[in-house]
Amino acid sequence: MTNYLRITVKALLAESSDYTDVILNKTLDTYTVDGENIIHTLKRTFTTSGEDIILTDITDVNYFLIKNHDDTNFVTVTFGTVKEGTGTQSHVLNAGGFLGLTDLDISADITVTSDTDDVICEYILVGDA
Amino acid sequence: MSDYAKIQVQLEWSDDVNFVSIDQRNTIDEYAGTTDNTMHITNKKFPSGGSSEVEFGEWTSVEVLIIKNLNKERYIDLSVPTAGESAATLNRLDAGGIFITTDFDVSVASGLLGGTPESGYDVNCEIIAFGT
Repeated sequence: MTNYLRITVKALLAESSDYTDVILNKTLDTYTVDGENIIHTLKRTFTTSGEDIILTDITDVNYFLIKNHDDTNFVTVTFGTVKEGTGTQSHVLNAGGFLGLTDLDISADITVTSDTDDVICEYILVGDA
Repeated sequence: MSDYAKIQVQLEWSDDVNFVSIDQRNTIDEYAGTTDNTMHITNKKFPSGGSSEVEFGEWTSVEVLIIKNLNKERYIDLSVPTAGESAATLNRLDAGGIFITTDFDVSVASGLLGGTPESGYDVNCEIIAFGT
């Protein structure tokens, strides 16, 4: 069965830390992506040894979003993209950071490695079975 | 004066394409620093026929970069300068898709964000950057 994920991104700039004095407020048009599989993991611990996000049941990834919930430590996310072809690339997720992609190659693992301590991340992956 | 920037990503999923009934909703926030931040929003046309760039070379840092492909039928290939890489990394952004990274490095590839649209088509993107 096909499932649908709708993503809405809002950006705020304010003069105050409680965001009551908004200078700029922008909401992007929603993005809806579909797939037979939606894997959503609210909390998973990643260590300095690195853990893989298993794509065994996925034939095609349509969207991947990962959020670093740690307050101080960064993680490195390593993955392949269809565009890049062979090999992998990496993005650093600073404390609190995001990574959102529409282009993942399932022939390479997604590996998440923390910097100095265990880090909890949340991720959602939309793909076809 | 310090300004405060944040992005908020709302996720909703459903088995109905019109989202008449929503199975689950989740919102996650990022706070992108508190000092001297600016938020730059631009609508950039990437014309057909090759690569064109958006320059961030004069920025000290870009803490969050969000790119929305406004074309609902055509993809665009992005080259994004990221920390620790000697050259920009390559990602294909699907039609209508949203790319988000907190790893933009202005010192890589001269801080140039590149975009090459699907052959034969112009692609417009909305770009939001937080930084200093």
